[in-house]
Amino acid sequence: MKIEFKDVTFQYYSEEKPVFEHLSFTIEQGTTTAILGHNGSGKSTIAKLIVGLLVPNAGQILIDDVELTEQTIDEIRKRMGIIFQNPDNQFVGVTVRDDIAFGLENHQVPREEMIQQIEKYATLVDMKDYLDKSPEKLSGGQKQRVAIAGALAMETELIIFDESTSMLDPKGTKEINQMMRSLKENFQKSIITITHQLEEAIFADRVMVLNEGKIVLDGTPQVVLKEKDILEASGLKLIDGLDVLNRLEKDDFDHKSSIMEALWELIFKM
Amino acid sequence: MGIDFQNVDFKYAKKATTKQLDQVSFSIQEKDEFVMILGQTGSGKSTMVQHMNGLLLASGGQVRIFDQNIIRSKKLKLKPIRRHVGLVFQFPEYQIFESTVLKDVMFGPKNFGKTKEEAEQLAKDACQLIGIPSDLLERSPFNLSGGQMRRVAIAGSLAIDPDILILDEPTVGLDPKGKDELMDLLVDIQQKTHKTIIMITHDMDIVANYAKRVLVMNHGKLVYDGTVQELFENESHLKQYNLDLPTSALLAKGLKEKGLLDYQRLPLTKSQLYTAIVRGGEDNE
Repeated sequence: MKIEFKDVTFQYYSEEKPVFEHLSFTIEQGTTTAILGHNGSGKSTIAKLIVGLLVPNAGQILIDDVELTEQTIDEIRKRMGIIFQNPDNQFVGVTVRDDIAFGLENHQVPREEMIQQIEKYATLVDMKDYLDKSPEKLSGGQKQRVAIAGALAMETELIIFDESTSMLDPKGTKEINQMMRSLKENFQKSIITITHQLEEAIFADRVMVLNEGKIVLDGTPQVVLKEKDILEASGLKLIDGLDVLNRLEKDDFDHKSSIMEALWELIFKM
Repeated sequence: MGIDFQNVDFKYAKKATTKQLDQVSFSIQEKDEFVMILGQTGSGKSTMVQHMNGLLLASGGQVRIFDQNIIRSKKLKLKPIRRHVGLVFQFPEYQIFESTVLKDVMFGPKNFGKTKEEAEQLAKDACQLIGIPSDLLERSPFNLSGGQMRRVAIAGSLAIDPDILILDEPTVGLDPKGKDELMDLLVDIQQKTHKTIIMITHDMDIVANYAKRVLVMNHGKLVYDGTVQELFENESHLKQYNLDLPTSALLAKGLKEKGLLDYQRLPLTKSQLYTAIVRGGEDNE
């Protein structure tokens, strides 16, 4: 799914200043894009505009060259899945099975097909053993995995992770990050992950850094994550390893280049 | 002694077969300690801290808080205990309800019988300690950023002026800068006021950077009570307790496996990793 922002301006009703003005970018079909920014940078607003929960004050949003409007939104939204921040606010079923079924029922998928879809995607997110469990028996990471299964079952072309790990413990965060990586490797989907964690941007094809409503960095993780000063000025914190790399840059010692190369490699594999 | 547990057991029901706490013994001083409690979800961390201010009562063994026995009894008065030991829950900002920041922070001390004037002074002091600028005091707490709301909620507990402050995962959900800021503030408060601070965390980078003493819970048992360095050096224990290494330690190990780095002590923080690399094979004490 190709997403295009053309000169988009958006302002919340209650705020004095727009979140962004004349924001333009294109996300190509089938790519994984990380949108990074500190809390309040406007990154989540982008997600809400893409899925049509918010409407721009000016400018256009095009999805596969079709403009997002009141007339087109219903059809387009069926092709998108979004995983929100709070695992408790998006669990609608009484059991894991019901929760994954929710979206399918809304789309009137026949029962037989539905049963198969649920099994298939629960297996994929490693929650098959929990199908009859209720949400209070699940950890935050498991709930988010169920949300992912629900989105996958809809077989949408685009999945957006809107700060999906920010309320999870490190173990849950790791689970969801691994899930994102495997989605990227095994499906032909477009993925957008919106986050303030640099760790979650490492595996993306492209990283966009947002600050004060402007795109201040845009490129591959290898390029973007080296921009220490801009990242910090954008309210982001360097991963410990990146910080060490930056300090080593100025030093001179034995095996410097091989150590730095190895560190990069380790960071990208984390 | 501030907090003293001797062979404490806890079960949710008398007939339950699993114990949430199983023969837990330790003690924590009433001042000048900074203790982090680790363990995977369900290991008994939250159950344990809820025993520290009388929210839960032990099924067996003995809990003493500021030399008072905490046992099921009509005579047990919990208010004085909660004056000594303040507990800040996870996502405490969900419990904010007053119309201004100052009023919300004043709620605790007023509840403990302080006059309006006294409560206001305590609230202002608490806000200053936790870095809430005075121009926010008359604002609605609901228009603040997530990090600021978290601080307001913590200020509410600080305003009671407890000797021991317990926080259940205070940094969860904050962005990385917000996490660092809050941790720096807690360290600062601890040093200024000499209060004992106890916190639950899952974040090993925070443990590596800030913990002095670490308690590890596993299946209801207290399995480790000691220093950070010793904890992370012992890999078989880490695996057994399902704990990860801090980022810098993982990188250091990776470099060592490639034969690019050697060290006597496993580097745990970024500055220790940096020093180990620059000094090469030299001792990085």
